[in-house]
Amino acid sequence: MVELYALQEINSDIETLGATLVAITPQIPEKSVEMLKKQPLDFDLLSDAGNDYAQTLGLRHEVRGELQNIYGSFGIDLPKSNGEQSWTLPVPARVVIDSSGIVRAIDADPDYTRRPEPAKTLADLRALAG
Amino acid sequence: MTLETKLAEIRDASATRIPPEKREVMLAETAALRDTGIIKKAIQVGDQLPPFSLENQDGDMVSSVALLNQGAVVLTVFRGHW
Repeated sequence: MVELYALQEINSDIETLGATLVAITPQIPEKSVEMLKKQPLDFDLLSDAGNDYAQTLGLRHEVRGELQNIYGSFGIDLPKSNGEQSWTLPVPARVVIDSSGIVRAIDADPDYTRRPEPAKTLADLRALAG
Repeated sequence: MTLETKLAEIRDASATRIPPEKREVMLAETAALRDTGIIKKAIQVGDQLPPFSLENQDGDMVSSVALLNQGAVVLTVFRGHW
């Protein structure tokens, strides 16, 4: 979530560069609304039920039993947040796509605490124009 | 403050707040996922983005085609707010 709010800070720069920022998450829209009430974002959070779209990107993975129990002990209820029972998550990723739909940059890492700076994404967008 | 500063704070906090036996499992699961080669098998630079049409927080459908008609897109894949 820290990453989303860091991207919020550069959203006007993204728009100035002629691009649109959008987030994709397995959580149900109601959960996104709940989150946005606490701290708004001015870009869309799209719900990817069952991580089906993440699967087409090759980013969906299972959360295995022992980790399910640990998440449970933290009060994390994935079936409730995601509205389904698959116990899957996407690998955190940031993808820059040009207007013809070609991926021009991707930063994905199984460790959600290893994320590129927003400034890197602005540089990726500027490189599209160049 | 950079994003990395904030992420480093999260790493430090989890190292002190999460019991070691749980943290060990979490780190091992992340490493196991990395070892599957998922990142190399996932979408790569030069690939065409598969199309999507997904519901936003307001219940409206948003498609990749509509977004790309307006220009470039930055897509961030987010696990969720727990």
